[in-house]
Amino acid sequence: MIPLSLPAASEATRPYVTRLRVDPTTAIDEADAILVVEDEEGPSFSGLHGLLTLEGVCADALEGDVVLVQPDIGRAERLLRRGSPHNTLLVTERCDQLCVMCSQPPKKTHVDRFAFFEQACLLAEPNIVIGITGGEPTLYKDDLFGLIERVGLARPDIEFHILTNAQHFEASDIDRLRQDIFRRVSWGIPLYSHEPARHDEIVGKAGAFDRLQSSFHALLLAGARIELRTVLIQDNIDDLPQLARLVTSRLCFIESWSIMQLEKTGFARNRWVGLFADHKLSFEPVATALDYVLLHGKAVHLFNFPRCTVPAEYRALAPASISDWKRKFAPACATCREQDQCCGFFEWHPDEHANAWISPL
Amino acid sequence: MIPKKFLVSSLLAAGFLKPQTIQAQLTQAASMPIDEGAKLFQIFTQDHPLFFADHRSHRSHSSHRSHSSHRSGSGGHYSHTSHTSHRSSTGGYSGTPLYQTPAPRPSEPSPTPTPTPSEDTAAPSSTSTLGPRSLLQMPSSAAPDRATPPQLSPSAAIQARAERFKAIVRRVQIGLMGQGEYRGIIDGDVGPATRAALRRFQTIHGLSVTGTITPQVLDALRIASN
Repeated sequence: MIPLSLPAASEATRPYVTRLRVDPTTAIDEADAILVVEDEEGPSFSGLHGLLTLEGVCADALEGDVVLVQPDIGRAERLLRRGSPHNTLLVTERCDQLCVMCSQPPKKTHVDRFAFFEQACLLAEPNIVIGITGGEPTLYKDDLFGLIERVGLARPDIEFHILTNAQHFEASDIDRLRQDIFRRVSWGIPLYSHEPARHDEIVGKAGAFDRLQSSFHALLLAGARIELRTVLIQDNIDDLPQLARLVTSRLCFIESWSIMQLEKTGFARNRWVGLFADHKLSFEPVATALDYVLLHGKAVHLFNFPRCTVPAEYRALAPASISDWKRKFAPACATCREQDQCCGFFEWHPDEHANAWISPL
Repeated sequence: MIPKKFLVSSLLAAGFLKPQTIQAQLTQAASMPIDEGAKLFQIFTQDHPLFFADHRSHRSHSSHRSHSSHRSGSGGHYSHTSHTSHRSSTGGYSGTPLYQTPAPRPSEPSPTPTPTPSEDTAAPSSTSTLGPRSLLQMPSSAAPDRATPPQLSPSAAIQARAERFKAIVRRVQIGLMGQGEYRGIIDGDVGPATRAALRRFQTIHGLSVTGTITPQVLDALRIASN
């Protein structure tokens, strides 16, 4: 696993954002910190905020990384890793839904780090997509929109992908969301069933389905780009064909639909047996949904579906979706020829399950 | 005969009659044609743009950093000795563009105890490449850094890290002391006295006044240079 949080010693007393530069000729911004020395334990950098000593990663792997240095806890968080297609900013840990399979159960506290994230975005490498997640980012809608607008103005090369439960979009947001900058924003929105009651039950919030529809209404009028996301569990796998009809008929303005396999962490860790829906055993509902959506010309993907667990004719829909820093392959995958195209497994997925499940290609 | 022999060899041992001292080489070099001098000059220059004048960096050059290609350039073979020659050249070899202002020669800081590598040192990873800007490339789940909670390092590792940090700060304090800007203790802590000294030093030398150990300060104190 790629470490995202590094032990750090710093002379600063307050948190700050800096970009690490191993090659001093690339240091062009005053926020850049330049490599001073590297020894076996790790590199030391120096910038406007002074000296910074890191540990656990060699300097070359940090070139161009944007880090948030937190002297109080002695850590440096790698907010944006250069060259990684999977850079995600966690803007809050609060959420107003409590999904049964949540991979990161929410917390009540909120630490406002928007200012740091904005600085980080401004220092990002050219042409990247920055993911924004939570918690629920739109609980702090003004801060979020402000960040996107300001960064978008300064950095026309940057795109955003924001995961939201879409419980907070209103008609009054439409004008703001119609701005050009929001063409570079894609919203990842979960929808678990065509049955309102089942969706509400899964997300742990009464009325969530209806609220989602009114958000869709606002987003449609704003011309927002939407990626619909459906995590498969035992409760909703048989709803897929009906959900596919809903997607193609009433939500035809969405850009793409992602059907996602469960991640064994957070709530799903202890509820795995009652949640995990083995699509390898019963691919029928998935196949029916895929056929229907494809027939209607909608983009659809299978995320976190190891390729060998998907019938060959649908394999092209299963990309290497798991983020680089938390992806692994099971021991049994060693002989597989399609590893480079496969999502593999989440770092915390039990190898015993993976080994028994897969059949290397 | 025997006593004479004995005398000569003991003088040799004491370094008195050593035929080729560095000073002698330098004197020779000064009277050499330009290209020969340039060759000698090269001995005293760094093959890599960044240089940290500390004994600890020898280790890193010899073992850890051997894979780095773009920084160490072509002639990595003499980088080990360059540190010592760098020092001895300050007085004798004037006129190189590298050293405009002769700096005071503060005594070496007491060698710091070598910290043992910490347990949680992870393997470096730089395998990721820039991919297409496709939706497929986006995180497939909402799970960012929570997966790597701050692990409490063993106190020994924290100690080692603090010591690496302090070793550099001590060099800065010694440098500032040599410049007459710092009169405090060489403790490796960036306290109010060190910050004030840094600000004075930065002001006097026309550097950005931050009160922190910036690349400019490290450069000016010749602790690290580009």
